[in-house]
This record gives sequence, C-alpha cells and structure tokens, in this order.
Amino acid sequence: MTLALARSEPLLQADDLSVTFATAGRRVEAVRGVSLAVHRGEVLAVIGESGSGKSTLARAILGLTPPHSGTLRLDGERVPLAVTARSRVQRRKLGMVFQDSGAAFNPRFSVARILNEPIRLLGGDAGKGAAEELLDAVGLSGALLGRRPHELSGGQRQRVGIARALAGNPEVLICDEAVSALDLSVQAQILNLLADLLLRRGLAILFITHDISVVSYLADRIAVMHQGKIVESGPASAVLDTPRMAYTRTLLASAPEPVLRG
Amino acid sequence: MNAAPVLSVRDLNVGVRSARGEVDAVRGLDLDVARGETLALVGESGCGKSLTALALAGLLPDGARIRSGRIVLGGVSIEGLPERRLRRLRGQRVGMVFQDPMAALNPVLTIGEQIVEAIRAHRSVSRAQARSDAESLLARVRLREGAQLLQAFPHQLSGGMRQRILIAIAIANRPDMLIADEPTTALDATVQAEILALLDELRRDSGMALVLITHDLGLVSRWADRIAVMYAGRAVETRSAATLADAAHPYTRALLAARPRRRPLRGPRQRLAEITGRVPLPGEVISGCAFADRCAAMTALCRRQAPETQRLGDAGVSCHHPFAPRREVALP
Repeated sequence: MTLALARSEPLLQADDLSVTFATAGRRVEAVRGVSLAVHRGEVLAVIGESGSGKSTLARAILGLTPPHSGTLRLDGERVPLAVTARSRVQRRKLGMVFQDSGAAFNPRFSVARILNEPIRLLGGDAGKGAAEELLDAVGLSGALLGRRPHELSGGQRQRVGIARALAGNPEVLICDEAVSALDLSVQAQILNLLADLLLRRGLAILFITHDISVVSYLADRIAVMHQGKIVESGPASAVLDTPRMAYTRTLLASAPEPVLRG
Repeated sequence: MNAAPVLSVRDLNVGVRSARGEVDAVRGLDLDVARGETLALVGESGCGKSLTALALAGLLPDGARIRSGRIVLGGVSIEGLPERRLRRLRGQRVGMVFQDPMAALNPVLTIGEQIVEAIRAHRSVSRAQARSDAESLLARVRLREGAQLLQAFPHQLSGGMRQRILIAIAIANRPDMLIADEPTTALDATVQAEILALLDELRRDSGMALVLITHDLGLVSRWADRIAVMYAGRAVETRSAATLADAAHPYTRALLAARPRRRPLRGPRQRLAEITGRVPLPGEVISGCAFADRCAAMTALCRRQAPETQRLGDAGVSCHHPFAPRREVALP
C-alpha cells in the first residue's frame, strides 16, 4: 500500500515558494524557496521555532499571504497563489485548523451557524443534516448545534474547529499548532481524531508544530524549518533517529524528555 | 525533608466570584514545600493550580479571596497578619514568575527602572546601590552587558531575555521560594530548556525552593524533586518525581497514558488513551470523589464519599482504589 501511495500524485505540492514582507522599509524574506509534497493518507510535519516561517508557510499555501514566487498544485492541478484568484472548487480542497479555534469563532454564532456558513459558501449541500454529519465526523453529538462557543469545552471547541475545516470536504488539511494549547487529555482525543480522519477520509495533512512528542506520534515525514528554509526533511524515523543537521539535533535535544517509545 | 518546610498549606479554600455567587476553585488543598526542593504543581487547565500560586504569592485578582485555611510561610503563619505586614512578608519570601514575560513587564519603563523599583519596594537602599544591585542580578540570570541592558525597553529584547529579566526581578529580594507559573510555555523549545536550567541553577546556588507550575509532565521528571497533581481544586497525589511512573492515583495514571508516544516504525498509529469527560467547574456540586465520572476504577463508594488522603510509601494519595505500588516479584 505504501508503494502505491508513493507512486500516486501528491495532493499538495509546493515548489520554490517564497514570501517576502516589506516592513518599515526593510524586506524580510519569511519563506525562502520552500518545496514540499504531501500525499493522500500522509502527515507531513513542519517543525521549527517561532520566527522560522512555518506559520507564514501555512498562510502562503492557503493563499492568505500570497507568495511572491513559486508554484502550487492541488491534486495535480496548478492553482493561483492568491486565494482571491482561486475558484471555489480550488478553495474547497484546503481546510485549515488553527491553534485556538475558540478565538477564531464568532462568539455570538451557534455551532450550527459556524458550520453552515462554510458549507453554504463552499458549495456543499447545506441540507438539514450537513452540519450534524460534520459534528458526527469529529465525534460530537448533534445536540451541540444550538450551543455557542463559550458553552463548549476546550476539546469540543477544537473538534468544531476541525469540523469547520472539513466543511468543504477538503483533500488537504493544514493544522497550525492545532493541539499546542490543549491539555493532555484533550490533546489525546484530537490526535486520535486526526489519525482516524486520515484513514477514513484519505486526507493529506500538513501539520505545523513545535512539539516534538506530538510529531513523533503523528508524522510520516518531517520537514525542519529554520530562517525561512527547509533545512532537513525525510521520513519521520530518519529525522528523529539520525538527524543530519546540527540545528535539527538542537531542536530534538531540547524536547523536555526523550520521546516516549510506543 | 526533615528541615522545617518553607511553605506549609493546610485545608486552603480559595473562593472566586461567579454568576452563582462565590464558589470554591481551590478546595481543601494541603501542600508542603521543603527548603531547596523543586515541587512541580501539575494539572489540567481549570484544576486550580494558577489560582493556588496567586493565593500563595498574595496576588489574587479582584473577585478571588482566601476563604479559609492555614498558610505558614517560613515558620510564620499569615493568618490574621495585617495587610501591610502580609504584603511585606510575601514580597520578601515569595518571588513569582509568569507565563508571558511581555505582559508582566511594563512596556514604557526601561529594564533598569523596573528592576530598581522591585529592589527598592522591599529594601531601603540608595538609587545608586539599587542600580549596582540590578547589574549583578542581570549577571546572575546570565545576561551579559548588563549596564547597556538596563537602558533597554522590554520590546527590544527576545522572549527568552525578557523571561530572564522577570526572574531577576523575582529573585531581587532573595526569596525563600520562587513560584514559576508555566514559565516556559510561551517560549521556544531551545529557550525553554535554557530557562529551566537557569531556574535550577539559582535554586541550587541560593537554597530557595522552586514551585514549578506546569501542564507538561515531560518537564517534571527532568526538573522536579516532587510532584503534586491537582484535580478540581485539590492535590490528589503528591510523590517523588522519580517514582512518577508508579503513580497510584488513576488520574495521574491517565495523564501519563495520554501523552503522545512515538508511533511504531511499521503499521498504524496506536490510539492514545483518552480521558473522557471534563474537569468539574468551580462551584459544581461534587458528591464523593471529584474524578469519579472520568475514572475507570470508579465504584459506588467513590460516588458516596470523598476519599481521604492516605500514605502509600512516600506518596500521599486521595483515592479509594489506588494502584498498588509495583513490587519486585521474588522468584522461588
């Protein structure tokens, strides 16, 4: 099965992406010539410290901070770099999960409205059961549809965040520090959920984090980002066990405890 | 452990104002901290660990207050002390470091002004003396070019440097105890390790006690001597950090099992052990054990009666059905 996957076209492919900010007369290259590919059923973890450019990379792929150069392919099809230039079908293919979903929701909206809006806008069929189906997909009861964000627990909120990201039935999920703010008990639930979705929906996941123990659980491949560049990448076991770059070794050594063996 | 504890807390209750009136967010907490030791206070958000820290440091926000309980700080009971003496006692004996150094520093004052202010708040020394003390404090937290740094504003420094400044301020009056509330959560992993190493070094050099508040169990085994696991406003298990893997309380065991572990080289990821349900909210009526709803070992007794703390080896455990300590099996 792994062989068949390896030969298939990647669901997400970025080539030579660069993002430059101009601030106070200074040009800052936040992402410098990054290339990556994520296949169906695969998790590519991008690790690095704050300021390494990993979150900018996520926003660049989404087209929210359009790269000034490079190419992007979704499921083999080349797509415009700016989200505003992408068709609805192209926009549906990417879903995004944020660190703190609670803060990303409108506090006055009910869960039903939080979910129905992207369902409608992304051209899915917003039939009566659509929002409930999404909740079901993330292991939540339809009874929560009437609740508002502050009436949910942290774990429920993050599940709704994932449900919302799934609203357009995406092929690629981009998770930016999606479990970093969660307590261990909730973090375990969300990681199990992502592992399930990966298999059941055949998603490709780009998982951006600074947490090495989470990476060791979830990632198939790892890309290490430093000063806007991917300085090392490879299968998770290779990067974790035999890192080639000094920077990767520093990053791994600073994890608070040796990574637990499964 | 025979030395008089720096801090002794008995049956502490901290109330917070809520829509339903005043409710207890810390309920009957017992805690001891010995001189020179590092105690990790661990638990999920909402378990009351930060509120406990604020109560001990005398920094409770409006709407929160100590309702009852006994706090003995360096041999002095704070009960009934007039507010001014109490503030002085805490200022001298307890230092505190917070999660977000940017929020804790005043953005419009220089580093020097802030350190000098902290020194002079509790000691009557000249401005010049305080300034020279400030420079040596910066050296103690391993910041170089102190004279220049004193002129800097917080936004000109990195997150790690700002946290070192806060630590310098917290130890300015040589406290007996330093409380660090998630001191590295907002920092990068490489900086995290440096800050924890610094705190550990300061503890060893000065003999002060360190209370490390964290939700990160990974930090515990590396940096703490003892651990107190909090749940729903009380310490449900305290034990030596070295025996954390042998934890007796089902909640501690569940937290340990929920940690992400490395996936096997081949085959699918194994499911992580989840803890279903949630921490009871402050003020929620709890009959019996607060963890019962989420506990695999729950029985009718747990519903009926809150467990007392019992001694198991070196550990204190509040549970009717604790895990037995692991025994070496003697072969015949």
